[in-house]
Amino acid sequence: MNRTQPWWFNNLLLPLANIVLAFLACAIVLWLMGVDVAVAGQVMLQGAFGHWEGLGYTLFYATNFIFAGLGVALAWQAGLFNIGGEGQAMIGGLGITFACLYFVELPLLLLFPLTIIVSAAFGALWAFIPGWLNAYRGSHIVITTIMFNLIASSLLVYLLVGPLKEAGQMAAVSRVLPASSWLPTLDAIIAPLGIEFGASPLNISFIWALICCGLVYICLWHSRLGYEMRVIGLNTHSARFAGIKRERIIVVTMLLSGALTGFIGLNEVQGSSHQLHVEFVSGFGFAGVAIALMGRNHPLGIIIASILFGALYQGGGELAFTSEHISNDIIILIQALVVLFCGALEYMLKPSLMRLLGLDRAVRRSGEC
Amino acid sequence: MLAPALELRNINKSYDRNIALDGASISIAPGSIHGLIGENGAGKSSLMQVAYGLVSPDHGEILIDGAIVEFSDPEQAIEHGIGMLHQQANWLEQLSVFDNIMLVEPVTGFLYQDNNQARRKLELLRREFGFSFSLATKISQLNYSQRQLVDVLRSLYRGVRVLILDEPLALLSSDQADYLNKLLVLLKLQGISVIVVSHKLAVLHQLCDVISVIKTGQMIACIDPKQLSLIQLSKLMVGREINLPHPRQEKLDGAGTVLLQLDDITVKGFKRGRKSASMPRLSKVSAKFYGAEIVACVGLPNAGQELFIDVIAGMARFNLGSLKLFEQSISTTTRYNIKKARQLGIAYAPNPVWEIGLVEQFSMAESAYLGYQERSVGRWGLISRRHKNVHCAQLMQQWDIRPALPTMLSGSFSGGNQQKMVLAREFAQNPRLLLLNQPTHGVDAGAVEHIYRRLFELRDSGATIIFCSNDLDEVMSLADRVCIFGQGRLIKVADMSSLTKSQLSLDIINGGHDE
Repeated sequence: MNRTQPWWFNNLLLPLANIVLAFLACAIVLWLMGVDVAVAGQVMLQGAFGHWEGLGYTLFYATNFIFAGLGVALAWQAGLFNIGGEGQAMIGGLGITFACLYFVELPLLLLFPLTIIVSAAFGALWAFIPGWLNAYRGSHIVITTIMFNLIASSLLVYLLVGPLKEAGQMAAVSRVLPASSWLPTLDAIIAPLGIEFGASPLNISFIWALICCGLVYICLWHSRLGYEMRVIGLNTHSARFAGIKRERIIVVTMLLSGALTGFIGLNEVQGSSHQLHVEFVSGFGFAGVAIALMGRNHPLGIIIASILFGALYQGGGELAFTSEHISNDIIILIQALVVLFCGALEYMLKPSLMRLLGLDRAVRRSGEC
Repeated sequence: MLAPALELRNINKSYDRNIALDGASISIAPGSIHGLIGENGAGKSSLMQVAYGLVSPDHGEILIDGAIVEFSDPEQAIEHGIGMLHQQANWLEQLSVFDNIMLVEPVTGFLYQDNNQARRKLELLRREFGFSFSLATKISQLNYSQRQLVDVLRSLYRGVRVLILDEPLALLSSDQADYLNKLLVLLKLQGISVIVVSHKLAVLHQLCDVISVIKTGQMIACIDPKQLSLIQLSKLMVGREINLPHPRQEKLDGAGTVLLQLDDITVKGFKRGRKSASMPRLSKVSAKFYGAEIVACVGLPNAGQELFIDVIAGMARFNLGSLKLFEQSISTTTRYNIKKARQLGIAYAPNPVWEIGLVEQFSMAESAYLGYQERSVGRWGLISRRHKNVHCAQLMQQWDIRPALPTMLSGSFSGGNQQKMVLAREFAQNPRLLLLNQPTHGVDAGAVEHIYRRLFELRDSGATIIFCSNDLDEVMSLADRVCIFGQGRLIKVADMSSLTKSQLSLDIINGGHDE
């Protein structure tokens, strides 16, 4: 194996170049639509980072992306392609709704840990069956997790037009959760300090997302479990030699992956909408695949990728709001282009970039000193 | 005089902070058999990778028939008539020999490809060089050394003029030695040059017209083996004298106690279609192993010796019989696996190490506790700091593993250094029973001496060592007793003192035939 490029080449420069390319492609589309690209870019940047409220929204969306991305990345390290993030997030949110509606009396200080546990458990439960089927029966994890997305979606529809439906309500939403269970927004938390943050739904689950990043990092690279997961993901022969119980590790990995994705409900249901909407996940679970891809399956990369995607979400929304030519679909377009260039065409630029930098020779010469 | 078929001039190549080649040059005459020797990490493989276009050098020139050429990938090297046998060739096992060879050929026809011409040409080559397999044979039915021959045929078909054999372990194994000799002569007659990279000095000494010696990335000598004895050759390579073959060290007097006893161990064959199972892979093997002895398990490829070791290690299940390990009885119903085996004090170095014994994408520090991840857990249930940093560095120092960089990827180390790392890891557990498969695969003569000394020390401390080897010299130097396998059965157990090398080799070949 030849390591001819320095670490920053594959981990920083290449993704960056790909993103620039994606934005260029996006700019061309906007230009063809007759939009002033410079103005559009400014609107997006301004919308995503230009003011406190916009930044709040950016980070709010980023929270969802972090949970989804972590879930995919963790499974990926063990060689599992968990694209059941949608379903696991839905079921996680369902668990949170149950917990908040049932434990009405509980103070938030106790309720928050409880909802963390419940959402993890529900998400994990939804990932358990595909994981078990893969480990012990050899079912393909991609197929089963996709099917479980559909099942989760149907289940949610059934519950929200049936048992959980509030009387006198037309939309497929649950009852509003008691106000005592709402997660405090960050602006409410720092307001006493005299800092004005603006009213965004950014809440303390963002902090929990960052903590999860740290935990995932420690699990993967500093614990025995993570070690065994990575061995399984890389080489099944070595795993057998190392005496690792493949089946068990696969199930545990899927449980953890599902639990992480299940946390999306904390942010969306308990933190923001305060009731269970039938489509509250709306693609965040799938976006996790793109996030993990861009973030190189590393927690730090996932944070960066999530903030980028959060900014796209928020900035794109702002753009659609201010411009009459542009609908909300622009967000999906930008996302798709980012996925296309960062995922499918990941290494397209590599040879030309290396030639451009004269990297081969330059690096090795510096190595000789 | 003819221009050399292939010449490499002043090749420089370094990786990160590690200089692999430092102005190395080599010149291959047409129709010659050229040996390339050197210690592990001396730069043999790097030099061959440059010649094959796998790696582009920082400085230096490649000349073919006296003309400067430049390769940016192996495809171009092949066009110039350079071929290389891969240690880890990828075969599509369910396809025939013919299809596997044609796989990399460009498609000429539209929708339909006329293969008849290619088939005729290959058939001609196959007969000319006396390959025993037919073109229609599925790769899955060929053993490791036959697959290497398919690789040779592929190179011949593509018009190879310089063929590089990088540590062709299976071809150099004892039962193939005669055949390899014949093959090399045939190649030579066709004007094809062969570069053989190997640590088996004795074989090279016999086989080669010229031997080049490489050391720390520089070519230090290019000699005619007829002018130099084997011992002088090894001295040139390692810098000190090594006795070849490696001297035996007899075991201490007095038989130890029985450590391991196997009774009628049978492993069923693979199921084939609807018919009942094929021949058992191991049938009714009974044996006793004592403390303080080294036992070799030998046989033709797939005769059962490797499976036998896997069974003891808990890597393969047995269907009948029982095992008694350190007073512990293990039957077919006992839960026995490699984890349990390790807890009982067994250590195992499998083969090939790069596929099984470590994880190539891990840093060496991480590979240094593969299989012992439970024992490396420290506070808070996390991998202890000692195992992360110190452990690997210590092993590297004790076993002279180069480069001594624990953070370097395991896959970036040369095969010999990977082998040493796995041995170092298993030795570090102070095993009571050490199992080895091809213990010195790819390891240079100096390091082999070191490994043998360690093995003798371990034996004299009371442990049992059981190993598989294709190298009869190794068996002759190391083993106190030998178990000869043939077609899944243990056909003979003998004391080494009562056996000569030629007799052993005869026994092994006889084991392959029905009485």
